[in-house]
Amino acid sequence: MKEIVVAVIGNPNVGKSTLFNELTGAKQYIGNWPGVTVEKKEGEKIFGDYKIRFVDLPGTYGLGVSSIDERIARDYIIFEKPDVVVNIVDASNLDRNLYLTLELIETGARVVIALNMMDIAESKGINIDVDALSKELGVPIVPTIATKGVGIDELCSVIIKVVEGKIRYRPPQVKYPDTIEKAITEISGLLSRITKDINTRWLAIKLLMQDEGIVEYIEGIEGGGEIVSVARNYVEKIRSELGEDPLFIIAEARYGMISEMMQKVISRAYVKAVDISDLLDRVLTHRILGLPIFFVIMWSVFLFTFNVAAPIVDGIDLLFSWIGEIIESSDINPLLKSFLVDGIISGFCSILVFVPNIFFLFLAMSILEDIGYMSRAAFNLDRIMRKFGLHGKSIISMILGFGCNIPGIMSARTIESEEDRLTTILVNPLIPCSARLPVLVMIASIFFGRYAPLAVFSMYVLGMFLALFMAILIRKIILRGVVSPFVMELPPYRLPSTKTVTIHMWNRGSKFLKKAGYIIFSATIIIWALAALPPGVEFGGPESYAGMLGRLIEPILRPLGYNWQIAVALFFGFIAKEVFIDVLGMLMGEDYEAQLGVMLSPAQAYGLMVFVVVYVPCLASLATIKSETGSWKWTIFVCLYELILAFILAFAFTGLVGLII
Amino acid sequence: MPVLRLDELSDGESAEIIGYDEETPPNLKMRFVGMGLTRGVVVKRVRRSVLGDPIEFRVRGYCVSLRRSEARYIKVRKLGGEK
Repeated sequence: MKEIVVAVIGNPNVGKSTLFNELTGAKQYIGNWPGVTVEKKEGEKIFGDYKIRFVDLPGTYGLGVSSIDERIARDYIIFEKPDVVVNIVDASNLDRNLYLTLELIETGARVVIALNMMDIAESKGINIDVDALSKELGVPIVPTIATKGVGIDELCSVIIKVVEGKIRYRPPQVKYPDTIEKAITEISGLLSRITKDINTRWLAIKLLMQDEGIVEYIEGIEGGGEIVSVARNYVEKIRSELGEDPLFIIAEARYGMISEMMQKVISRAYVKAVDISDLLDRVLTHRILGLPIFFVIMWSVFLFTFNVAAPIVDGIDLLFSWIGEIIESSDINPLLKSFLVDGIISGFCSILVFVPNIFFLFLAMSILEDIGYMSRAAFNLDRIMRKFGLHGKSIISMILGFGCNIPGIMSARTIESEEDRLTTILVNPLIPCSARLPVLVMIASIFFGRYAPLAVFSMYVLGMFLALFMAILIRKIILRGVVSPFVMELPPYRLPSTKTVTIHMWNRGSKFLKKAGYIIFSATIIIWALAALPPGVEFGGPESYAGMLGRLIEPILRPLGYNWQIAVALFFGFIAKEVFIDVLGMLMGEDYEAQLGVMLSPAQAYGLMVFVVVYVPCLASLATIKSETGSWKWTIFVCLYELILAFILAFAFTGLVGLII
Repeated sequence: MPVLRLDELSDGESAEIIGYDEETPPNLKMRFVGMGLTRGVVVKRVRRSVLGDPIEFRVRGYCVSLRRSEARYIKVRKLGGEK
């Protein structure tokens, strides 16, 4: 069986993930791109005699680069040279989509167009002559409706035909003005002496457009420096002759060609009078209603996460205590029994109980994202975010952070300016993620009864507020730099397919399960051992290793009112925040909630919730911060400021709440 | 027809792009070009955001949002638009 590599590329919001899911089904691997932790999604499909390996590239509007995402997409096409490039084009928005297509064709890649959303185009009254468009572009086109799985097999068979050389490419050449054509010819002639792998005409055009990445790349090749300066001279010459930057003239020539094509291949049957997206936006971005609706949506997500999951959570809880009782009353080796009951059931399983909450939270996030509401949130809140030195898109990073800080941190990569992106990353760990949720719920339900949800919600408000506060501090003191532009598409609202949302949720949720599987399970074993050793001590007693560790840390935390068991729990909470419960369950036994209730005053409990929200990011978040910022300095910075902030705030809130109640 | 800046349009008004301000930062230029905000194209202001900034425009059949400060760099010729 032959294996071929197919890159999948397209503008954002053209249904790329849906099509990717249809192509590969659930057989997806999520890895990382070399050098950066941007998620690299791959999937396989066996088709005929071929094993097709699909690589999902980040959405991009062109092959110019202004964000990390766009660089990854561009570099993959240019340097990795996949066998075939599937370009997903939104049929209902051909005009702008074809700009990327023309650029892809200019690189000399073997492009196959998946003309997606044919149904939406039709409903908008747009008729596309697919054959004519294919002839104009000189590349094969397959009409698809990804949401209904239409055109998937056809797409695969065209890919195979391309690989087997059964399809002739007759790509058109964009006609640029003579002065530019002359420059392109000369520069590409020079380039052909130093590089063979990459289409020299495309490189020459990129040099004339003064694309920084490409200029750097050419300068890095021996003899490239001279070519770059030749190109620079041409840029000046063109500027004085044509009165404009070559960048625009080239872009305009491309758009000009697209307009000509459009006239030949598109006929509008009618223009639809009512635009549902527009109607929705009238409400969702309304001057008065817009913000209240945003908060209502966030509150509903919160309620949804709790209430819908509640019966399942209770069920799992019952199941585990039943298993625990069976083991307790059974007649097995006491050491094994202790491991199963004290370690696995009291510890590990007390975390598994919250898995439904976490999945429902991820489900809600996926729905908000796939519907298209996230970009509206960015649009609505950009102005506020900017006041705090952040970017409208930072709000997306924060909302995702409520699910898990890792996707939250990674989503910052669509923000162009480095200062904006770094600030967004550095404050994200302050957003209480779903792993902190069970800890908060546990504490709140012991101490605040009926007001528990309110107490938990107040932590979310606090986290959000702290993130904004830290952002402005960081921006004012450390990262004073340029602000990224807010040139962002507002995609039409779409009803996502159940499959897309489910896979989206599963991809994220299963990561959590894996984390629980490896990290938390190993942590459980280690902590159980620390609590059981040295031999002969009372399990989890002050004489055990865990007890010694706790008594070592306890003095630092005593001003806040925490005993050594809480100290150990906080210490291991650094591995993953849920482990906090795990440790308390092991050290205090199954009735740890009752014990906590006696040990702490409500004010101290509230302080503890604040501490849990703020103190150090979990291990996995730290690793993500390290790879996204590429610097230990920032990683350590986050830990330090969070620790200091946690102490100060826990102390302040304990006092404050003590005064109130 | 008068030459304006894109941020001076009101909701529902349309204009044709005639060029960029000389001071436009290069990264912003790249962005404009990539999003299809080139000379000759017709842009219609759809609405402002909840807080008055950014602004949503319709161009080449899709919607794009720009901050006022960014829209200011784009020179336009106002067309007789519906209100």
